[in-house]
Amino acid sequence: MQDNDLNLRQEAEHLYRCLFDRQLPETLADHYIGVHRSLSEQWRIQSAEARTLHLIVAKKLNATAIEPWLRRKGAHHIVSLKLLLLVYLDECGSGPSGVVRNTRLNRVQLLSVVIRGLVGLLHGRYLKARHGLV
Amino acid sequence: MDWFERVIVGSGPSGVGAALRMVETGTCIVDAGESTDYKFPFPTLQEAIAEGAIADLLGPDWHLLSHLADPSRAHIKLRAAGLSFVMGGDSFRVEDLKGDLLNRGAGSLAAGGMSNVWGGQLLRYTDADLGEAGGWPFSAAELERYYADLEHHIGISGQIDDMQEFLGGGVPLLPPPPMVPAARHLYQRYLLRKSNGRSPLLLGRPRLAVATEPYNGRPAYNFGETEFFTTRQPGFYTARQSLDELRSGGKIGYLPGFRLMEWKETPEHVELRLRELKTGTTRIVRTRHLLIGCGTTQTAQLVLEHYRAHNRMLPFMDHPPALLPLFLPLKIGSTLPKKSFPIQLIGTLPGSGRRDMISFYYPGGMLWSNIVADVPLPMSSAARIMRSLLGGMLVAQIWQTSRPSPGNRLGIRESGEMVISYPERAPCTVVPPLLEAMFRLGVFSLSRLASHSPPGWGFHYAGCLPMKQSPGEYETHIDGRLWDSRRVRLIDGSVLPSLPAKNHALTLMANAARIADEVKRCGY
Repeated sequence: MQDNDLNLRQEAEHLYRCLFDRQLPETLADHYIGVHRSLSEQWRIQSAEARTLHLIVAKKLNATAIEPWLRRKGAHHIVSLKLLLLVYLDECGSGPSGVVRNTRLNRVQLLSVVIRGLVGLLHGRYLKARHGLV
Repeated sequence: MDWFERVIVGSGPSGVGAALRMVETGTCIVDAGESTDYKFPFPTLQEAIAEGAIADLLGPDWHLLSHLADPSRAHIKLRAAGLSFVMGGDSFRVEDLKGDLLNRGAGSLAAGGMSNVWGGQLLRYTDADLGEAGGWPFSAAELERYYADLEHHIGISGQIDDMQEFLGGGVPLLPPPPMVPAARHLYQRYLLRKSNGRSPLLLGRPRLAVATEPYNGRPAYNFGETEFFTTRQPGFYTARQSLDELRSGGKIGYLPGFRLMEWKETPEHVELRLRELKTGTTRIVRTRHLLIGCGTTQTAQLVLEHYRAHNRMLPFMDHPPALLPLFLPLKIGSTLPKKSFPIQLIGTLPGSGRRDMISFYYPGGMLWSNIVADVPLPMSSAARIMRSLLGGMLVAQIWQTSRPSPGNRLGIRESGEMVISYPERAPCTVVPPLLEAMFRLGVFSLSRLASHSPPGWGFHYAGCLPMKQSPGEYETHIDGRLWDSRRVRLIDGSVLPSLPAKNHALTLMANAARIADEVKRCGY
């Protein structure tokens, strides 16, 4: 359990940094582990997806750039699921320090974020192909 | 053995619609009556978010996240801990022609039924609606006074505007709720364009069961954006409210915690076999008239079980809406309101020759994480732009008329499992003309961003035992009686012969009220 918790913590730290470019707050890390303890048995993770997630974390690849190319309708890819989990935890558990609810952008900043996102998509496509991620 | 002059089974919109006409001695509602003690402890969503109240927002044992792996398994309205009890009734499978599973659904055993999670729009059907949908054995005039009585009882907010004819002519009693900036902008652009005679769209404010002022002893609604977390908010009408009022006023009997398992009809009465949910014990009740309003799927199942008609397939209709995100560039970055209501505007495209309905929703009054994965950008970008994006965003929920199709059928297997065979999905043809109409108003989207709800997700189920002038087997008389019965009537969506595009909530109530009056008039 402790090894698993450590792995989950490392995983959450990397994915959170990909999402929000900052350190994962301790409380959110605890929540991340708590969700896995309660719900992860219900998640049907295919071995190929688990491998993809492992590679992303181990090689510190940009998860958010890769994820759109793994995204699908219906059941989420495990990478989408875990990123989305962190988005929920940030929105619901961070109060005034959260990113989702408290980011205010002017139009220039908004455009900049969108353009960086589009560039990120291209980078993610390259990473997916380069590392054979599925 | 209990005796009641009339028994109504179910306390959803239909059951309550009938009960309101039968407030005299001897009428009893038999109800599974499931409820929840769970209360969302914040008056507004934004206060909960500001507090970082993660346990309240995501629920005990992370309840709201239990569908994270596959969001298509649970409607967004049913994910919160305070609302998942609403669809705890009999489950059904939705299958394609090959028998492969498309989806699962369930009926409701909740006190107040599915109205616990309805969107609050209460709209009249008109003769134009019924004519287009087809198959109705009476005109809208038969429902007029019931619509008026119910609207007066509930208190409808809205305004008289260009949608007046489409909405059936009722006069709202309360002012409409405030609009969010994006909706106000769209409406103003519409009014300007319309004045130049150049709008292919009709647009107006919705008619809502939401009190914008105190009404009939009920408080005004606080618009705290908690609709996705809890029910029974003061000022937001659901059937539960009327049920509670009828009970506390001693106007109706109420037998909670029971389900109808079987009935036996004699020339003098109907004998009901009820099962107490907690103990499993049987209770026998006799009544002069039985009115069944358990919701379309559960009522259909009861009827099929009663006639031992396993593998008999009944017609089935629903209203799976299409969703289209709409972007108003000039309002992106607007300050978001602290309070809001989901449904902002309602529209139709009269030039299409059809009476499709478009509800325009503001998606900001719920958890933004629900829609982050729908933005076609990396989540790191999507999460950051949500606040700005939502200022200039609405979602069009598109409803089309639903008619019986030969292939879509509901039945029960020998095992008792309820199955809906759903090989036919009507294409959504509204998206292209809507995109064009929106473009002319400075609102943008792409057809590829439209999503189509899976079969069985529409909640607006109907048509299994349709009313006819001369009903055949598995059909009902205009007064709700089963084809071969004197004393057993169906009062819910199962009897509606087709579904106009508008949501059918008010018509369920009005038709049930009409059938209740038929019972009072029948003379036996």
